[in-house]
This record gives sequence, C-alpha cells and structure tokens, in this order.
Amino acid sequence: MDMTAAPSPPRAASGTVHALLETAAATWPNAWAVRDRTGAWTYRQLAGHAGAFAAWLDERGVRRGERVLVRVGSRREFAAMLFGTVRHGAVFVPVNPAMRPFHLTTVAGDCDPALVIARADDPATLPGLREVTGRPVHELDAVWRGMEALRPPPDTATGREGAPVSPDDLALLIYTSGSTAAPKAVMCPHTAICFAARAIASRLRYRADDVVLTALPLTFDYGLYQIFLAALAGAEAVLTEPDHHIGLLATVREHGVTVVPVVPSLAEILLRLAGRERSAAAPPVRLFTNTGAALTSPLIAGLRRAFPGAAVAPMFGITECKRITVLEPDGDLAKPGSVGTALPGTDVAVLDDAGQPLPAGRTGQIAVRGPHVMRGYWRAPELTAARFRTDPLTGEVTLHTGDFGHLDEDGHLYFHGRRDDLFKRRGVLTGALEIEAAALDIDGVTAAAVLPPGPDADLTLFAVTELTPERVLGSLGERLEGSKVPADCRVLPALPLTPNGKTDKQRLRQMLGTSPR
Amino acid sequence: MHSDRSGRSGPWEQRFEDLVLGVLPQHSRHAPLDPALDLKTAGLDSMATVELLVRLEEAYGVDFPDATLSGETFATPAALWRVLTAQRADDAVTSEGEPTCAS
Repeated sequence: MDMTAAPSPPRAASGTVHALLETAAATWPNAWAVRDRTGAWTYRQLAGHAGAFAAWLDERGVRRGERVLVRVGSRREFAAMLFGTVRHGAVFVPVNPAMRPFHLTTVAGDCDPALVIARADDPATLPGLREVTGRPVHELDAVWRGMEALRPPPDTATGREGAPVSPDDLALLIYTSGSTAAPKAVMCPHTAICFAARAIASRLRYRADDVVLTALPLTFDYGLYQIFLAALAGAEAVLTEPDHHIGLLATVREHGVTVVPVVPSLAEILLRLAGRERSAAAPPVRLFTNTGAALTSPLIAGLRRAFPGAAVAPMFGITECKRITVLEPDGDLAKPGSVGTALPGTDVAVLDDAGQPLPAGRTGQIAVRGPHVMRGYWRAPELTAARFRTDPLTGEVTLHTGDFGHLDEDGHLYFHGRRDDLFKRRGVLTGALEIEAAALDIDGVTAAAVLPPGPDADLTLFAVTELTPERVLGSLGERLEGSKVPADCRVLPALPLTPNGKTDKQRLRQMLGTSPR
Repeated sequence: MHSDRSGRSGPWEQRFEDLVLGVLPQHSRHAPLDPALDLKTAGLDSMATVELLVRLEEAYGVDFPDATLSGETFATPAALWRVLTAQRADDAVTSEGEPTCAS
C-alpha cells in the first residue's frame, strides 16, 4: 500500500471484525442478532449466512484484498455480507441506494470492485448499475438462492482456504460525502474497527437484552457500527428503511426497542409521532445516542419528555477515526453542550495553527491520536498525508480533523464547527453553530442553518419558522453582537438533508445562487 | 389551494387533496392530484409523511393503527385514500361536513 500508514496498533485488544460475530454466535447462539421488515436471524443463523456468503465470494473468484460493493439498503442480508466479505479477506464497500449514478460512477471507478450486489428494485435499475459501474452486478435475492447450495455446515468458523485474514488487513472502505470535493473513502483495518467498537461499547454499555433501532443508513458509520455494538453485547439490531420512518414508533413498541441512535431529523420524527400517541404506556426506550449532527437542546428536552426514563448520550466523531468522544449517558445535564471525553485508550487535543496544543478553554483544531485512527484515504496519498500526520521522530500519527472546538479543565470536548463553518466578519471570528444555536433559542424557530459570507452572498440564515424573516433577525439582534447577525434570513418549510441526516449545506448554497429573495 | 376539477382526479374529497398537496414541495403541487402519483418521487420525505399523517388524523378525526404506518400506505394518493377511508368506516366517526364528490 502506498499510503502514509499509521503504525500497527497493539494486537492485544484486536482480533478481526468477523471474530466479533463468531464470538457472539458462540456466546449467544439463539439470541436475535438482526431483524428487518421481513424477519430476523439469530447470531448462529447470521454466522451461517456470513459463512455461506464468504463461500459464494470464493466461488466467484473474489480474492483477498479485492473490493465488494454492496448497495442493498437496510436489509439483514447486509450484515451477513459484511461479515462474510471480511471473513473472506475481501474489503466491504457499502454505498447508499440513494447515491446518484453520477456519484456512483466516481465511487465505482475509485474503489474498483470485483463485483456489485444490489436489489432488484434499485432506483438506478440493475442494467443501469452495470452501465454506471462497468462491473458484474448481482441481484441480492439471486445471490441468496445461489448461496444455499454452497452453505457450509453450521458452526463452521474457519475460512475455506488461503492465508488467514490478518487484523492489519483492510475490512471496510467507507465513502464520506465530501460537501464540495469528490467522494473519498476512509480505509478501515480490522484492528481499528474492533478497537473503536470496543471503546464505544465500554462507554455506552449496550446489554444482551437491548434492542437497538437502526434507522440510520448502514452506509453511514454511525448506523453500521450498531451491528458491531450489538454483536459485542449479544443485543438485537432492528433495521428500518427511510421509506418506513412513518412506522418508527410502532416499530419501537412492536419490538421493544431500548436503544435509539438518532440524528436531529430522526429525533424530530419520533417526537412528532409520540405527539399523536393515544397509548398511555411509555415507550421502552432507555437510551438515545447522538452523533453525526448534534441534537439541539429543545430536541433533547423533547426526547426526555416523550420518553421518560430514557438517558441521552451525546457523542462526537468523524469516519477517519470512527468516534472521538462519548459523553456518559445523561452527562449533558452536568456538562450541557459537551460531546464528552476521549474514548478510553485514545487522546484528543486542541491545536493552534502551528500545531501546538492549546490550554483548556481555547478554541482550535481538534486532533486525535490512538488505535482508532484509521489508515488514511483510499488511493489519495496527498490528502492522507495532510490529515493523518506522522511524527517524524516517533512515527505516531495525529489525525487533524478539520473540526474546531475547545476542551474544558476536565477534558470534556465542546464542538464549535467545521473549518468551513468558521469565518471572520467585521473582524470578529464566528462559528455558524453559535448563530444557529441563538436562532433556535427564539420561540417559534424549529430548525436553523447558517451559511458563512461568501463571494455571492453575505452571512445568511435559513430558518424553519412561522415567524417573518424580519422578526427572526430582530430577535437574533437581541442575542448576538452585530457582526454575528446575518444579513439575510430565508424561511424554508424544512432544511434539506443528506441521506445521513446532516443539513445539506451544498443545497443551501445552490438555493442562494438560484433564488434571490 | 384550489384544484382544477377537469383532470384525472381521484374519488376523494377536496380537503384530502388539499392536505396532500399542502405537504408536497412547491414544484410538485400540481392539481388535480394524480391518484397514481409516486409521492416519494414527488418529494414526500419522512418528515412530510409524518406531518401528513398528523393532519389527516386531525382533519378526519381518525387514528391510523400501527399496522397501516408503512411506506405502502403513503406510496400514492390512491393507496392513502383507501387506508383513510377504511379507518373512517372502522372508527364510525361522524363526518365534518358533506363530502364533495370529484368529477
């Protein structure tokens, strides 16, 4: 590999990704592992399907290190293909069925997969996918029928042939939707994935009797890791698809969901659905986790009201190291606005422009060290070298996240925004998040997004509200100094979102360009 | 919003049509509403679907049971009207005003 590689982390806490499943299948063979709309598999059954898929890949001639591109949405076969691919020594590349052909062409060209697996009802159609990717495209249900013939006997835990998979091998490529640049993939080795999953598990403490609602896309690492966290605990992951979000609360009740990872849009849907509930019985949820896009304080308060007994655990991370910090469940009550402390066994620091650590309270770039730091960007050595910086003396890698924030005296991290969201206006350094938080403080504003001043437009606020733009800007003027009050406010029925539930700022920028007020 | 009644409109009340059109993005608000319109393609996202559910329940005084809360129910205006009508029969709620028949 021609990347700037992180030094191999210690093997002690490592193992392989498929070992997570094999351990679960040995420990809780008859516990439900993964459920979708059509049914569920136990850990023993999931391991059986994973083994059969590995055998199927072997029969197709897929070799160790080759990529398998999977675009099937939130079906339980996804989990089997994930574990089966990495057990075979190949690299699993999940992409969202919502990814447009234009984008997919780039991704397929970049990861160069041996084959593609998609659903018969793929929005791009199977012939369309063949054309776009230029690869053999296999239909999911046909693959499953073909696998039956190859199914190894149950409880077979060893690979069929070849060298055993090394914990240093790549297991996953996760494409991140760069808001401006071409999509890039984070290279995730077995060791770093297992370390990160175990470190997160030690903070969140999923239990064997937990049922985890996985409504986030499995192509988003936040959704994907629910499968690993469930396997570490012997818990059940319930997969749902965006088309059926209308039934989310019904799913929570039907399957006794206890843990719900949310982004703001999902939390809003759950709250709106809870508002129409006639049932007096409180839903069984005991824990909400949040990362990807931060819950606002009204949303957190709403979740606590609608789901009494549920704790909220804010977290922070980027795909390049999976997770950076986790706040203990309900830690926000003592440390409002904090996203928690560094994962055990890792370091987080805040650096100045020269790369020197800043003291508590000072804002700078968030930087991360530890065995959870991934291996870099796939086939992008310059970008890797810029973000995954190797110390010339120690060889240790520091991930420069491009995110800004500060630490407090107790090592709790506070996130201020992406580098792109920080700007100077009239000489004052400001973050979009600060203005968005002030806008959300106004009664009647339910969502807000800020675009920094650019070549085409001054500082602009997009708000979801029944108030007039003038009223919103007036109320902001009572909360913020003049330099931080946007020049313009546009009222929208809803903020545009990416498939992962983050505000789609690229779309907002397009709106600025095309629809002057 | 008032729809032109001359087209291939569905066999539903005007207020149903208005409620559905009201949650669609501006570029998809074309009356009359095609009964077979793919609502997801027309821009009915998850949040808008929930909003539509809540508005329909309020307007018609019905509760959609859990079993009906799926993508299929909200796939097209025709599918949604079918489920809504079934709930009205089940709930036997007195209608608020005369149904207006479509062309």
